[in-house]
Amino acid sequence: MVIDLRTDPAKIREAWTHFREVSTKAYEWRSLIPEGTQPPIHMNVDKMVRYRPQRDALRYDPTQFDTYLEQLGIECPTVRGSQQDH
Amino acid sequence: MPHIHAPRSPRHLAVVIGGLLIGFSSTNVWSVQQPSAESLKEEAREIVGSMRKQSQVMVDSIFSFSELGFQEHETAAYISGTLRAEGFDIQMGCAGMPTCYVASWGEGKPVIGIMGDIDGLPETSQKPGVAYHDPLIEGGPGHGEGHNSAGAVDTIAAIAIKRVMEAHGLQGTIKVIPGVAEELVASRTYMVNEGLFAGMDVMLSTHISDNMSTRWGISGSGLVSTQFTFHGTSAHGAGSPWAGRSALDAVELMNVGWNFRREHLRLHQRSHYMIPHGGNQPNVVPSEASVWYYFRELDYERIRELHELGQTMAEAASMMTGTEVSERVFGAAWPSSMSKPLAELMHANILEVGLPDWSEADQELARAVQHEMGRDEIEGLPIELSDKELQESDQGMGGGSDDIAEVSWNLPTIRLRYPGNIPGRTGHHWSAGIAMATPIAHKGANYASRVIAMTAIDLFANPEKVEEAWTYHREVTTQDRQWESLVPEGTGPPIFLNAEKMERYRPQLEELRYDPDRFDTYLEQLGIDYPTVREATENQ
Repeated sequence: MVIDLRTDPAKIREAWTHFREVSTKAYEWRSLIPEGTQPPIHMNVDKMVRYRPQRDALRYDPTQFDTYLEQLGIECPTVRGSQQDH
Repeated sequence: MPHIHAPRSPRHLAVVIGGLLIGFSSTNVWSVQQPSAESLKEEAREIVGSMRKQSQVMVDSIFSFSELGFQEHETAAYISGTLRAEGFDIQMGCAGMPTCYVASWGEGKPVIGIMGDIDGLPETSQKPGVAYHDPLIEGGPGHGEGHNSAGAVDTIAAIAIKRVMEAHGLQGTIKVIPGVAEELVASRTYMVNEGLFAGMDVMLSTHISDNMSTRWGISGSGLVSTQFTFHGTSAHGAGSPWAGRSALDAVELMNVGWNFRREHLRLHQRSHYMIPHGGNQPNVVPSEASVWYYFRELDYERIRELHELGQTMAEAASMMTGTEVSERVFGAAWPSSMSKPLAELMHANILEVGLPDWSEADQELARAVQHEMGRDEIEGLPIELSDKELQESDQGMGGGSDDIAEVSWNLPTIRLRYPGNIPGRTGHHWSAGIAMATPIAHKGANYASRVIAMTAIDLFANPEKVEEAWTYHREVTTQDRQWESLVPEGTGPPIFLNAEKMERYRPQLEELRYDPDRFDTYLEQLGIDYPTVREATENQ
């Protein structure tokens, strides 16, 4: 796809023509977020702080284990006994 | 410092004789050698008066700790450490609460307890001595009720009592026990259930106020504090909401149901709730949500009925939403029932001690706070006792709750309301923290210790007063009703509450901790001019 666009610049012009004459013909994008508002990067800080110690203990180590399943010692798939019988 | 070093032998003899003549104190036995109860009380009062500096240091230190209910670790270590240094035996941790302690001194009967609260309140951080909202830590915990003073009141009183008893060979035991997590109304029921007060004769409890008074009889509302957690199923809030079952819906429906039903309940009930957990983010259907209720009424049966109605609402909400509900009771209290004979004893001491002399700076701060809070009457601090005559409590339409109540139905108990705060403050609010590390609280706490010490000496010197209190307790207080726990059997104290909040603020609080070795007062350490008032009020 990138190669297509690199080798045929007319495709980029076509895309822009569609963008101007169709996509944004009737609608001009405007921000729904009030001016001056910044991204709420405080979100999830508390939650991550709470769980980071437990999560660190569970971090995947590709140098020691082939897959994360292997590291966790999970047989794939693990299903309920009753389901297995069906 | 006490100046009396009496030989110990009379006390040992008194113990032996006391074993034969139960109810007779060493004062009676050794009346020839012993000073009168009045002079012992005067001595206790002088000792407390000489400890004004310690009152101030303790009031300011605990203010600076600003610890929330169940997380009063520094406060508990500090108070118990102070008492240990005075020769008290310390049992750290009780009834499943690490911040509970029993500090004991002496031996034998009577066993007199002293009990005041030690916890702060969320969101009430406030610079002391500043007559407008100016938090030390924005949004942080503070002493927005004034419980920081009680540790000082109880400790200084206990030390003075001990010194008088030791000097004069008075028999008996003093026990200082803290009101842990009083703002959560969640410690005393567990203490009673654990048998912590077994063998104790009298409880003298202390609570901050803006005047000095005590009353007997039944007061306040009782309550059950309980949390309902709904368990649903999460799903994409937009993509497949039909696959989810919202626990938050259940919380909202329970609240709507409760608020409609509220109209058809007795006017005496008071109930309020908050939502500790309402989900994680809007596009994830909340699989878990909780709502924490206080159900208050005026007696045991009605509290229980109100609680049961809340449980019905919770079940109905779970049925409406296809969720499951579980419940965790946090705490409970009956309304308080205070002892008349003890009130009479304490009231007489209140009349003797009176109110502290307030400085012009104290009054200026008080007037500025009253102005700031929009109070009609700008009267400053009281210069006269509110209750000249001893009065009976009026339960009226109820109000707040205090789990000292749980103690009051189990042994003769009295509560001293002491000065140290400003009339016109709003309770559970930063305005109630303004005075709490200023000379207003320092003086109030010291005066309160005087009343407590004198009342305890009354009891140690006249054990028949203890008998009178028990007769009243048996024949009046508990004649028609025996205390029963409103906390279900097998439920333990919710000591996890406030843990995360305290963890968040501890680093900032540590920087603000009062250092009495370097600064005379906390105000000095903070560099606050006393009082700091708005210019407009200053000019009036």
